[in-house]
Amino acid sequence: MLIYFSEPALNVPVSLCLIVAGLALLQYRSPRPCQPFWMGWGLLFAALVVLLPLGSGYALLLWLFLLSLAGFALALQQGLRAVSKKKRKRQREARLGTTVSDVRLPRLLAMLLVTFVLSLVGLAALALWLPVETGDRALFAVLVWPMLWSVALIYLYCSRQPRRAWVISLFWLLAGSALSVVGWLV
Amino acid sequence: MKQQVQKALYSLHSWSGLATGLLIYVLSLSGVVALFHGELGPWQRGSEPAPPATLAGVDAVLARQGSLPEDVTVLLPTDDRPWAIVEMGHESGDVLHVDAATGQPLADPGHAILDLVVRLHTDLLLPAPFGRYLVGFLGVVMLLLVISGIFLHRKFLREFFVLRLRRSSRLRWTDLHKSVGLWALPFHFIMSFTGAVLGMLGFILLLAGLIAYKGDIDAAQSAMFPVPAEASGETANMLPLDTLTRLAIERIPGMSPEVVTLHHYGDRLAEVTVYGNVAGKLVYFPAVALAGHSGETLEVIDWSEQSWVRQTYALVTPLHYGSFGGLLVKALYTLLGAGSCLLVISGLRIWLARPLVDAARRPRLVWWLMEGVISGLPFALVGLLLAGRVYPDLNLSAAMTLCGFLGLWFLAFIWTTVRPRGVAGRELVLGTGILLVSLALGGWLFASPWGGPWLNTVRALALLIGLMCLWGAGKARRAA
Repeated sequence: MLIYFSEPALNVPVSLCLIVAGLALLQYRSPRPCQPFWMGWGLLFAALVVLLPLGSGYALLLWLFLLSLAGFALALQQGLRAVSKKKRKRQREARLGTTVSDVRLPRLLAMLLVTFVLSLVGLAALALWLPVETGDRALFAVLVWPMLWSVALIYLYCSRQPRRAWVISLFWLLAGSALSVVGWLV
Repeated sequence: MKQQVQKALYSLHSWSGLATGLLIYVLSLSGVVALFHGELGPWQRGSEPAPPATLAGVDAVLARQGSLPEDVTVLLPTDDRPWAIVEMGHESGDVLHVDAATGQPLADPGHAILDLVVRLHTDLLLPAPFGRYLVGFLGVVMLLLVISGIFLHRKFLREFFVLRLRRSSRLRWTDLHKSVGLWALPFHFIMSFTGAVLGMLGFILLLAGLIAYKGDIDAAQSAMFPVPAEASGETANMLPLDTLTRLAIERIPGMSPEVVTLHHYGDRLAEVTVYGNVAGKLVYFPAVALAGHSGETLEVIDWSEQSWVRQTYALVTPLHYGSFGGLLVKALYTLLGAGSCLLVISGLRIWLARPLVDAARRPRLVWWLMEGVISGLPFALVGLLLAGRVYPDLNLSAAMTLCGFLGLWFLAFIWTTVRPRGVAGRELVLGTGILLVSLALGGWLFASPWGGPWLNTVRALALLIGLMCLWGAGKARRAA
């Protein structure tokens, strides 16, 4: 049996303490950086283990969310401190001022449309060809579809070679359509 | 990664964020408020009696009806709604609010304000199904923002603890944006992904089902939603709902029944399906189908016990609504949801604070929209909730509530027009804070001083957020 406190509500505060300690170790500057690094990760892992008796799925989510909050709180605390002590050397400001203004609306809309159709074709191909039970194929396609659309759009928009990206996208569009038609007819 | 790709990623991230940021803010903020739908109900009514321990009254109501339609849905009493709702159709006259113990009809206490908050989150108050699809599309855009953000900040391990709060305005907002985005990444990813799936579900599940079953709608439907048996035509005595819900709990231990559907109630082949939540279990509404006259178990529908695809699919709804873990999970969702709002605000502030060759060309429209939405929406929402609490007997219709809400929001926009830039937003935050604090203190001082857990949860939250608003407004004033 994993670590289990007699009062289940204790698991959450204990885990939170372990997370805070783990994060503090992870950002600790030591002459031998390996030790705090592994100890930090060890404590973070222990925090997850402490939550496991509450149910694995629930524990993982709770751990992720507690980690998010504790991490941000620690960053906030350090941010407030760092200014007064000037511990950190000045970092180069992010290149956010160089706002890119070459967004062409028709091109963006065309990409949105093409990637939307591409994602639907992908959905159809998955719903017809995935090697699982028929109902599960449909559900899996539903789950994958938003990722397909967003990843396809990022690829098409951000590719270093736009023409090649268009050709590859159109190829997948045609290939997916062909697969879907074949799958439907078989 | 090459400079050109980085530049394109930044362009995609910033422009899609700029185009949809305010709508995502509306969804995030209304989602946080809608999370407390259960708690806000008793708070608005000003009382929270415990739900009755028996459903005998619902049996009596069903017996009283001469002829029942083929399908009847009963929403069982819960801690935040201590009466039952019997739905026998879609018209307003077909919905009965009844005392679950005695069967005595109750007046509909009205829930237009809470419904509006929920509809703002699920449909952006637009007509169905377009509003829902737009929300789904915004989920996809949010997913796009999350993924492009990950690629943009691929050296994120270095940026986790970089938060320079007392430097230039742009640097402060940039660090805040990165920090909130990176730390709360799992939450943002889960919300955007599940939001996209839930928003587009009506269209995309139908499409995927039709394709997978090659156009056979009946086969698709029966695979997703088991079709109950037809009526035999012979009448039979039905078991009491208390017995049927107890049998369901025996089949799924730990389940707290919330909804019962009755199919051909009163017939020998009547089917009663009991749906409920299991605390701490990440699955959407497991159910037990029982024979109405014998209590024999016909089917146990628990997707967490089925294939991995169904298990994953069953996670989507509880993950999005945070309905699996009580007040602790709600508190976490609230804080992380506030992080989503902060992400939008900081993103827009970075864009507004960018260096321009001609400072006079700073976009006034974006600033005005930002102040009107970011400061005006909480003001309108809190004002509406307070009005509903102070005048509970008004029982406004949905249309009147919508007009009141939009009117308040419009007033906030007018305020941002007449007041100087920056000042209006601060004053609206101050107004929201004052409303929230008076809402909490007024409840404790004048309504029911001790209240119960639901009332006190809402009041404590209102006080906390109100004080934060007052602090934020004061700090912004000093900074100005």
